[in-house]
Parts: sequence; structure tokens; C-alpha cells
Amino acid sequence: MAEEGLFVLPGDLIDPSFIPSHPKKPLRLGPGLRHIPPNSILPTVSGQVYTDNRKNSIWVEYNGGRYVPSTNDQVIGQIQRSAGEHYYVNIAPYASNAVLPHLAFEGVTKKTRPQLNPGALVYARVALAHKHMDVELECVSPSTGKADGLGPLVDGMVFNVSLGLARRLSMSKKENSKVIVLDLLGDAGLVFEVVVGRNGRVWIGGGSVADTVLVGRALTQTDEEDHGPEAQKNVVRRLLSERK
Amino acid sequence: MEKGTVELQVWHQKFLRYLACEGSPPAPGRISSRDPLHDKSSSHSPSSGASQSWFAIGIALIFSSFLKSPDKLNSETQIPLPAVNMPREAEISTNEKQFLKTALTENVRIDGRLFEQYRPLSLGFGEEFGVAEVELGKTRILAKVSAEVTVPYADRPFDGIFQIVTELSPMVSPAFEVNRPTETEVLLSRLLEKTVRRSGALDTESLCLMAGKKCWAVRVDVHVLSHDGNLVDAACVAVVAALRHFRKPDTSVEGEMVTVYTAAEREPTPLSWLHSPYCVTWSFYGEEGEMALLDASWKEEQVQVASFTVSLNRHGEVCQIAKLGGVAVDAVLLLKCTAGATVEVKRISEMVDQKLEEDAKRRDKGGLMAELRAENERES
Repeated sequence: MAEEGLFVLPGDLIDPSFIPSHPKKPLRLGPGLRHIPPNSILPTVSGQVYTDNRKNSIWVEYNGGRYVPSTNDQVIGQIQRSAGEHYYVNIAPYASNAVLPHLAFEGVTKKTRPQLNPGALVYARVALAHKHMDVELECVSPSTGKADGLGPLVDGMVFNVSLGLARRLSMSKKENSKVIVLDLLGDAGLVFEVVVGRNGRVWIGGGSVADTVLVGRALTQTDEEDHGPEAQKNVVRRLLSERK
Repeated sequence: MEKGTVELQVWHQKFLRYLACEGSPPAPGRISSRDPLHDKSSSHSPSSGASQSWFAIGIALIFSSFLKSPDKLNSETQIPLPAVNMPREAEISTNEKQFLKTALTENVRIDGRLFEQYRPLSLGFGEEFGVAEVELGKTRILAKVSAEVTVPYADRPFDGIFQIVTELSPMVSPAFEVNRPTETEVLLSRLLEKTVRRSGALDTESLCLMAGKKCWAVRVDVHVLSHDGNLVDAACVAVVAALRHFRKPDTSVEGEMVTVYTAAEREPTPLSWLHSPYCVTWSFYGEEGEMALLDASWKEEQVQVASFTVSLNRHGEVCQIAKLGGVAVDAVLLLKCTAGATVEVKRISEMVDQKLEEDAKRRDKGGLMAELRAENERES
């Protein structure tokens, strides 16, 4: 269970009692924290420190800045070009292109690989994120060989949201993320699919054009005006009344 | 649409482009000056320029109803767009392009606006005179005016110098580079130039201090802070507001001596402002550009088939029309757009006037301004 509290600034000392300790698992540092040998952990950004005792992990939640890829993030990328054995994929403005091998899709061979044109969208996992190397992506799990929902995205619309909201949307527990707008819209009978990329892109599709736009507007408004659950209810109510 | 009409529209579009470049109907044997800094045709009065433009549209329409030219004009007569070797803006994905187009056929815009609806426009001024910041949705523009005493151009001894400089920095989008203007930037500065400078909004003769020797050089720097489409309209509001907000130091001339007074010695004076032109941009969508959208956002601009910028003042006088490239658009639709723009300009104009008034009131502590000002009353 994640625990929140403690607001930190870059370089602040984190109270050792706050750092989770687990008898067996190694401590995992998430984004915004840096281990400086031998034994200090310093935040590199300002935000709220979260800990998870079960996973023995600690990280800083912050909203802002540009997207910095890290391994196992699921991102929405845009194909720029194809060269040799790879696609070059844009995952963030101002960042160099990531590399997506032609064969990193579910069940493909050299002959059956998907033909993606420049401008196509893919949902991919970051396989390798190293400061000094090109980011590598994959649309298939290397252990199981299954796509698990990754792959090219067809039709739909992309809305840009802040990195904080993208992270909150991909949290499993609603009480932590405090984003209920999608649930409210689903309860209201709208049909749509959502794909959340950690790079701040949200793909919405599967329903009618008007509904897709409505969901996108609800999300972007929630993000820009930083709405809490109550305000989100109001946004949804207002948008649904416009729909009828 | 039958072929004859298409050709006529291509011709009509060429005619409008010609207007956009020259500001008056083409005359045989006329040599146009390419130097935007001292252009011979820059000092015509706003009303004459306006009537010329309306007159020209009228002529274009009359021509288009009579001309039944055979298969002379075809696709190769389309004017090629300039600037091939420029950095290009980042593009949106094919999914988004497709979605935007489908949504427009269902009368839906992605931000939920109506087709003829502007985004919220806000204007603020800095502590200094001549600094204006405009926000149009997520588009943000900052304009700053500065003035210095310099030597006038040799061929225009009675005129001051007025210059608009635009800058799109890499901060706005990774596609923009310093010292390598993109097409967006070139078009932006050209349209501002035509709207504000060549429509004679600022009386450049009033900037002259001593004929052929000393004059004011007024310079407006336009900084784009955030680009979410429709830079032209937002930048135009910023430039006009900044120029009207600006105060230049007061001067006096005695014989061969020009004295420039500091703000402590004499109250700085506003520029001699003749009329306030504002741009309104329409974007066209669909096979033949039959759908017109006001104030397109950045994503919408990426899928437009043509765009049309008209500059007017609040009296409805057209200062400039630009429809640069793109598909041929029905002339009647263009006239409708211009009529719509008139309404929009009145609204913007009222907003700017009100904000300027509020700012003046804020600065006028103790009501001393009326006594301090040196210039005479002027009807604008």
C-alpha cells in the first residue's frame, strides 16, 4: 500500500524512518530519487514522497517537466521513419527518436512484420532506457511472446495531458490517483477505449466521434484545472448535459 | 464542381494573392519594391487602401462571372509555395489527422467550440510602457516596443522608421531554430507587416524630428511564448496593443538642436496612432474547402486545406487580405468570412480599447495625466 506525505525539495534529506525496510527485498528507488554512494538517498525534484512497503520501493510524485523514459514504461509513440531493421519512433518532443525493431511485435517474422507508415501510432513498452544510448521500445513481452495490448493503434484520437495525470491514470487504485472522470463517463453509458502513455499522451477511441471528443475534453479539463473528485463530477455533468 | 468554375477560382485566388502582395490592383509596368523597410507604397491612407481592396474584390467577382476561359489553366498554373529548404514543424499523427477530418464532417471540433467561435482572448500590460501579452487559448504572445533616435533613410527624409520583428524560438516547438526562419515565421512577419505597417496604422511622418537628419526608429519585437495555432491573430492584437500602450520620450527642437527629455522632465507622449487593424484568420476544410473554421488550433491547422487572413479595423475597412496557396475556395464563402470577421474585429477592438483604458486609469494616480500631457486632442 502506497503511503504519501512528506513534501521534498531537490537535495533535501529524507528521514531514514520514512524509507521502507524489508527483510529480503532490495530497496527500489523510483523516479525523482538518486542514490549517492555510500548511503544517502537524495530527491532530484520537488514533490511528494511515496513509499510502498510491500514492494519495498520509494519514489517522488511530481507534475511537470519533460518525459524522461525509464524501463517498463508504456508509451504512445509516433513512427517517424523506417530504416534497416528498425522504426524510429518519436515519444517526446525535444527528445531524440526511440528505436523499435521490426521484429518486436507479437508473432511476426521478417515476412509478416507490420508495415507502419510515418505518422502511425504505436503503444509500446520501453525495453531499454539508458542515459547515453538510444531508447529501445518493444511491442511484445520478451518472456511470454504475447503483445499484452501493445502494438499499433488504429483510428481514435490522441490528447496530450501532463505527465502527472498520465501517471495517475495508470495507477491501479482509484483512491490514490483521484481520477474518477473516466469511470463517471463509463457509468453514464459512453462507449470508449483508453490507452494511457506515460509520456503524457492519452489515446481515446472505439466509440463515436462526439463521445471521443467528450472524453478527451473531460480529461484535459481535469488536467489543466487540476480538478479534485468533486470538480470532476461537475465537469462530467456539464459535458453530458451539452451532449443531449 | 465543373471545370470552368475551378479554373476561375484558381484565377480568382491568384488575383487575391496578388492583392495580398501589393495592396492595390496590379497596374501594368509597375515596379514593386522588394525592400520591406522603405517601400514606396507604404504611406497610403487606410481608407484608400481599404476601398481599393473592396474595389478589387468586386472586380474579381465580376470577372469570375464573365470569364469563361477554356482549358488554359490547369494544375500546373497553381502557384508553387515558396521556401523548400526550411525546417518544418512537427506533424501530428495520421490517426489524429483522420479523426480531425471525420469530426469536422460531423460538425464537432476537438475542443468543443462552434465553427465560428474564437478561443478566449486575454490581454495584459507590463509595468513598462509598450509591453503587451496576449493569450489566445494556449497561444501566448509577448510584444515589446522600443524607440531610439536615428538617421532616416535617404530616400524618405520626412519619415521615421517603423519595424516589426518576429521571433519564434526553439522554446515554442523543437521545429524552430534560431536564425533559420520557418515558413510560419516568414508568413507571420509578412502578415503583421502588411496589416500594421503598410495600412498606415502608425503615422510614420510624426516620428520625424529633423528632416533627413534625425528621426525616431520604433521597433516592435514579437516573441511567441507558446504556439497553439493562430499566431497571426494573437500577434496582431499584441502588436497593436503594445504600440498603443507605448510612450516615447518627449522631444523639442531648437534650430539644429534636438533635446530628448527623460520621463522625469517631461511626460512621455503616445505615438500618433491613426487606426487599429486586427487580423482574423479562417481555415478551410473538406475537399473543396467548403467548411470554414474561425481561429484554428495548432492541431486543426495541421489538417487545413487552405487558410484566409483578413485584416480590418473596427469601421470595417479592409487593410489586407491573404489567401496564400491551398485549394481554391468559393468566392462567396470568402465574402461571408470577411463579413464574419467584421463582427469579430469589433469585439476584439472593444476589448483592447477597454483594457487600454483600464491600464491608463491604473497608472493615472491622482488624475495628473490630463495636466501633464502635451499633445492636442485628436479624432481617431
